[in-house]
Amino acid sequence: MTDQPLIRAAGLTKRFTDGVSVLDRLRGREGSSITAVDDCSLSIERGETVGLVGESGCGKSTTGQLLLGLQEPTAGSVAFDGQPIAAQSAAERRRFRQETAIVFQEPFSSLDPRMTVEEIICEPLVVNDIETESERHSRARDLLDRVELSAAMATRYPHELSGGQCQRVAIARALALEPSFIVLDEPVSALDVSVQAQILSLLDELQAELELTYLCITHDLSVVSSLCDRVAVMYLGELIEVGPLERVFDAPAHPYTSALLESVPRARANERDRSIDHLEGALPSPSDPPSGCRFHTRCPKLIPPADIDIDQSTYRAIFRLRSQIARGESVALDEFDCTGCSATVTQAIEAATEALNAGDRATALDRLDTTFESVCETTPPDEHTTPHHVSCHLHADAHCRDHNCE
Amino acid sequence: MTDLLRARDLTARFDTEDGRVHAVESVSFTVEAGESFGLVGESGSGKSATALSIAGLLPAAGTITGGSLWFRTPELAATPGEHDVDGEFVDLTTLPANARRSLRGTEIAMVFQDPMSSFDPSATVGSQIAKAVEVQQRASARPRSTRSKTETYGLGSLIRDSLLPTRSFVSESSRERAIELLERVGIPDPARRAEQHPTEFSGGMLQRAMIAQAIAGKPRLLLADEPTTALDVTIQAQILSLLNEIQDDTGLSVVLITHDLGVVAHHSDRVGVMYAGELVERAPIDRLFDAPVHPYTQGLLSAVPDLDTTATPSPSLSGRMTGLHAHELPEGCYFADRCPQAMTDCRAHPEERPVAETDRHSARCVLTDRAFDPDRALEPGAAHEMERDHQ
Repeated sequence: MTDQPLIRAAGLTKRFTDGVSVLDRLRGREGSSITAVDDCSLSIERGETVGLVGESGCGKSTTGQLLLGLQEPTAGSVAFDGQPIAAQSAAERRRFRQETAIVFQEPFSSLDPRMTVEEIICEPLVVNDIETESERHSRARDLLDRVELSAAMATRYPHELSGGQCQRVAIARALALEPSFIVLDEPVSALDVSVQAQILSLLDELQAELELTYLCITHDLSVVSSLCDRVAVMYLGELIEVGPLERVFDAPAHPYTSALLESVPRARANERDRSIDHLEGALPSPSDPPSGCRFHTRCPKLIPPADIDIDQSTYRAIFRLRSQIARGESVALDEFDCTGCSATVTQAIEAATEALNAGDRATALDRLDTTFESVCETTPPDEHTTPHHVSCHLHADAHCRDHNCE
Repeated sequence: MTDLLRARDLTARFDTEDGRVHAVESVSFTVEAGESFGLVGESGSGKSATALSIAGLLPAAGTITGGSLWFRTPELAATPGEHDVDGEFVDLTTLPANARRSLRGTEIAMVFQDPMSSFDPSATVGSQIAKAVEVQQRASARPRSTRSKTETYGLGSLIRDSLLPTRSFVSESSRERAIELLERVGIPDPARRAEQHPTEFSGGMLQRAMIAQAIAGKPRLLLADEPTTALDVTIQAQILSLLNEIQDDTGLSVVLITHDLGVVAHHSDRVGVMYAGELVERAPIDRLFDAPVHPYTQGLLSAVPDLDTTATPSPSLSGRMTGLHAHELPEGCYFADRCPQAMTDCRAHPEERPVAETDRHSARCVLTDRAFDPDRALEPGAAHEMERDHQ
């Protein structure tokens, strides 16, 4: 045993290319590519649970598969117990496979419908040629007991089981080889809330008994809050905030994390009175991610240039107008309400309106861009380490100096 | 406030190869005009079957076998016919199929869980919404009395449509109205979007479009079946606030069906909790969360992880819901075998009773009028030995 983290991923990147045939390659044509995971670094210590959260399509599951070596990264590396998995020999890879396991979201479709529960649980043992048949038989009973299923279940087929029972079988299968690291890919999303609670508490117990390390991939923040020690938030393939659960949930540093937390409806009586400042728009396409900070198109805390004095709602309204002009949509710039704006703002808007009315979109856009372009649009944020790992310009030293943040 | 819908002992059955499924069992609730009524429960508890019964959209295997659905529609109530009338209310279950159909979309509309599979992938979103508008306009152009005799598609129509295949069903004004509706539900650049196909929309945008289609006929009751379940949480927040906004603007009543207690807490005025086809508790939102009476409601609430604390939720509900086939249902309370407070009294099937003096809060549980008595407690699972073996 070493004191280094069990899993260390550095600069992990995965790009999927689409629609390129051999002929295209000969001609030097490149297909469209999607960067599902972009330069992600994450360490997972022994015995801890890290929650990886984000909206659908942000690259969570791909990250999980990269960590398990189920996909080859385009760039970057994953080390398991200090050893890079890309450099593993066949025997080492085999051992690594036994040390790691995954539990999938869909309990039904991840179990072979033609195998009995016992066959499913013993499959990893059979594949790795571990133990004799009678030993496997007793091992299967132990595992069933461990996941709180009766021994009578052993001869059943998946279709005879409920969703919760299927998920227990999937967990038993993952435990068969006594792994140290398990990726839980949306382990309870397909289950009813009462069954969710049962599975979550089972996972908790198993971790304590067997000293397991979990990476829990989920879109459900309440699952994270009940299972995880640390949280990593992903947005469009990038890790934007990583920190201890309490810190991230109580004082989220990234505007996306706070919006995500705020959007979850709480199950309590006074919920109707809580006003949600919800995010605009949808997740942009990962094949054409926004420039600068990828979240800037939806961010409620865009940073205006230092030389203009403007409130956030006006600034966002102008930002929306600019993207509409850039997309070639029709805009009513002359109806823009400038009351209370500073002279610089009013001048820029007037000049742009004039150009737009004259039919010159490029000049109008250029005029607005010069005045209003945010640092969030132009420069990808660096990773800052205070208060914890966060990639946002709001935490840059320069910004903090100007705005006296902690 | 005036009532819009009164469900009284609504009962629905599904016939399957394995026997009759008791999907909805004697469900009663009232939806007031302009309010949002939440129906919560786990999968298979009968929430969707209840909604489909109200909409008259039960699949062929399903039938309403008992009870009534009183819907306030003064014009139809004034029209003579075979249907049962009570003042301004008409019993939907007694309406002939074509009259039922003419209410759909115009008085009662529905939004489904999966927007992708609810649109026709081969037609543009705008044209599909325009069709809904067109149907509504034609329906209201005809006087109510003749509406029940909606023309059937016979040989004449077939010949006419074959000879004039280009005859467009949708008028230009309906198309424009469709674009207005898309704008109303917050879709940017609606004119361009209307010309796009469903596959070009994101899930959240498509759910907005489905809401646009649902409100096209200016209905008074919107049945929303898990409208945000397929969506990401930031998009869910957008859709819920859109529903709120439309409700405030139009005075629409909403029946919101969901498994997510947070969504109900955020959107509904009153809630009904369903278990094994029955409505086990019905209460205003604050009563339900602060003073739940039914042990199932209590268990459900404690199973929801609280985002603001980091404790693991207590798995207080063990086991699973009884099967709904006639032979699987226990004689006593359906929940007794999972109930931590089951007593000998629970061997008899409980009636729905008001809680304390308020008629707005009721539960189908013996605990409404007596306290839990440990001396009469049943051993966990002892309530229905038979059913346990089944599982």
